[in-house]
Amino acid sequence: MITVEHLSKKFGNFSVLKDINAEIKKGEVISIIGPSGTGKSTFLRCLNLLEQPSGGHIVIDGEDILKKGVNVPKLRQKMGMVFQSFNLYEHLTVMGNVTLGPIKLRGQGKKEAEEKAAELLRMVGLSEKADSYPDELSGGQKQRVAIARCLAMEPEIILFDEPTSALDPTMISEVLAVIRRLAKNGMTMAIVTHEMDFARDVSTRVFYMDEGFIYEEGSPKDIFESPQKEKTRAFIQRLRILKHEIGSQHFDLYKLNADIEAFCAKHTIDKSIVGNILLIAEETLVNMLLPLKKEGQIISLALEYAEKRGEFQMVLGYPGEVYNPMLDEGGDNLALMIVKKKTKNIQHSYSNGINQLLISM
Amino acid sequence: MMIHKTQSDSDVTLALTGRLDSVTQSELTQELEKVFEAKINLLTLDLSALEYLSSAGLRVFLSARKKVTQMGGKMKIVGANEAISEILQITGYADITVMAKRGKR
Repeated sequence: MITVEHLSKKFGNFSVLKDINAEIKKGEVISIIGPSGTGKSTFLRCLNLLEQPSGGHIVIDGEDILKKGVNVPKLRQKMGMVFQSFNLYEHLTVMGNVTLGPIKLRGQGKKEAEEKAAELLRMVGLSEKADSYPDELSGGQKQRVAIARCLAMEPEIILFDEPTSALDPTMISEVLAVIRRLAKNGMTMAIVTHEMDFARDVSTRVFYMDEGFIYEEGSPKDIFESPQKEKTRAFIQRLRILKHEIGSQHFDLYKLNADIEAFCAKHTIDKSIVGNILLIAEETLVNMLLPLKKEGQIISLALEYAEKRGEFQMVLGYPGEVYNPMLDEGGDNLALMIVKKKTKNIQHSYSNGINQLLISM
Repeated sequence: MMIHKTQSDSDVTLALTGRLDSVTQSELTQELEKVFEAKINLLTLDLSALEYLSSAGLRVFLSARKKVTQMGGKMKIVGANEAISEILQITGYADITVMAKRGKR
């Protein structure tokens, strides 16, 4: 359906895309992942010519769209796009947003367009909001309207540019649910996303982008479980680790909790296990390590999820004298008893002035 | 955390909702100080809606039990979910805990 050959894009002297080669077939769901600033969005925007590529070919249904004289508006009708920031028309109602394209560009009658729009709004769960204006909607609702608007043009492929990045965690799932449904119905899609679980479940293929090209591609299983190339491996590895540093005696426990919860949500970890992790973090930090921490010292916490074993490891690093809190039976022992009960194994080590506590759960 | 207090004569029930941890424990401590201004016969802590409990909360329970006992009263804990019951048991609270058998965790 789409073949990309040697696509490049420069902004001034800066090469964002160096040499992109890819093929997207009908019915495929492609997730595009990778670090920030590696050209993922630019690649998407080049596909429908929101950015003019500097070189290469993009062939859609046999036609090179980078040739002169290509009917760009016609081309864009084939390719819907959903943006991070929704890009709804604020002065139009939801219904107005969804029917604008079909009426103006496809010459549909108002009644026909509204019937179709009503059906699409029902599909994204927003029938009740047809007469609302965008500023009356939540972010998740706005994005669902944007998807309905996109579908109203009956595109052959939809390009999603970080569709959930501007949303609160509570709203992400409602948008992802709609995209999942589209995937189920066979819609061809290319999605730039940071939602790795989603990328893993929904896509037929994953493109890992780095250094301005598609560094590695493969099935979700290949990319997430056994990436072959060094940078992909490092990227996937980083996803599995949460790092946190505690510099102040009065650190923000709830910020740490929120980070741990978000990290666990990314790996769809059961709620009861999340509760245990939060408990271990609170008991070890607040009751064992913080009281001994001196001004200027930093305690580090790393949380790693070993998916194959379904096991969590928490590594606490703290400077000072050799000290293993697991052997300290002073005080009321409550924290110590809780930590012992809720963990599998705890190892203490000490080197170069840093204590390390390796906690397996 | 939210604390809902009900009282009949010298029997007081505090129903706790949310998280009882090192951040919120002071709220319960303050509420208990008010409760203990009068003589208490039975103090019931209803944990049905408590989602999270750490040792900071246990310490508050411990000192409350001590206070009630000194007054010649009793303290009981009811409605703890499975995860919280486990923590209560670890720390020897099971003897005063009347566990509500609930279907949910």
